[in-house]
Amino acid sequence: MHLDDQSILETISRDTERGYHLLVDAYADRVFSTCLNLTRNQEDAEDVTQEVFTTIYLSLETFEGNSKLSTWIYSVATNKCKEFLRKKTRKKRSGYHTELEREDSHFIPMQIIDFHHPGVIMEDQELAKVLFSAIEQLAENQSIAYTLHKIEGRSYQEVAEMMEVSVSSVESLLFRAKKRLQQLLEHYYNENLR
Amino acid sequence: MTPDYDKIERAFSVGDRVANVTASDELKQRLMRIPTSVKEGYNKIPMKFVWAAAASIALLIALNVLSARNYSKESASSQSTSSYFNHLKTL
Repeated sequence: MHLDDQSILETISRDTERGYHLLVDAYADRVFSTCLNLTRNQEDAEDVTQEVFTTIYLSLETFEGNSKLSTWIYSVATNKCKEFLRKKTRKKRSGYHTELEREDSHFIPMQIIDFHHPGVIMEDQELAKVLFSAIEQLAENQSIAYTLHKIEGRSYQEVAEMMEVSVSSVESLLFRAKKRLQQLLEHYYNENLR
Repeated sequence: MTPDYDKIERAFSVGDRVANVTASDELKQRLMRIPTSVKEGYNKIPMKFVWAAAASIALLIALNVLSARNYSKESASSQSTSSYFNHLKTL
């Protein structure tokens, strides 16, 4: 049985290590799920999850409770995934493609990533690969906002808190993400029908 | 060519059917061990190295302060020397 945030915080104030263990029990699955959706790779998601919990453990004593515990944990997770994606993009990107080109150019061929999401049923796996590959082509913030809202089912308010932006920014990111995904998928299916 | 809107819609709709996943037991164990590994990391660095590093930094700061003081003294004396020669030139 998972304890509520208040009980976890009370335990942390008495015994940090015991409180941390309760926090892992309560949040490990949800944080891992978010990391998996954002990194789109099982091993990377595990590594990022470990980084997230290390950061959380080291900052537990300084957590002042200005925001909800869950909001704080998810925003650490989102930031860690963002850092990870940034490093990955930097490695992958050749000298030619800038973030701007990535967003504006319609005709960068979409590469289908080899990602079997364990939360997707077998008959949806191929379509999921196409969708996740298209999401991978989005600009970083669009990709994160779209994943958190459409894949994880989080509200605009939650996404805004996790990404530390305003709700109107989330709306705008989602609008652009949806438009860009539509273009990418149209292009992909056109190419594959030829 | 007309895009296949049905396929596009089906691809989009997959996003609504992605279930939450659970972390493996191995990962949970790794997460539970974080406090121990953090402590081990702290204990791996002997205190004498920490003190040696702190002493080196303090020494560097002291040397910098000393050299900055000497520099300002030297520049003051060189100013007075140059003003003496300037005065000689005018004679």
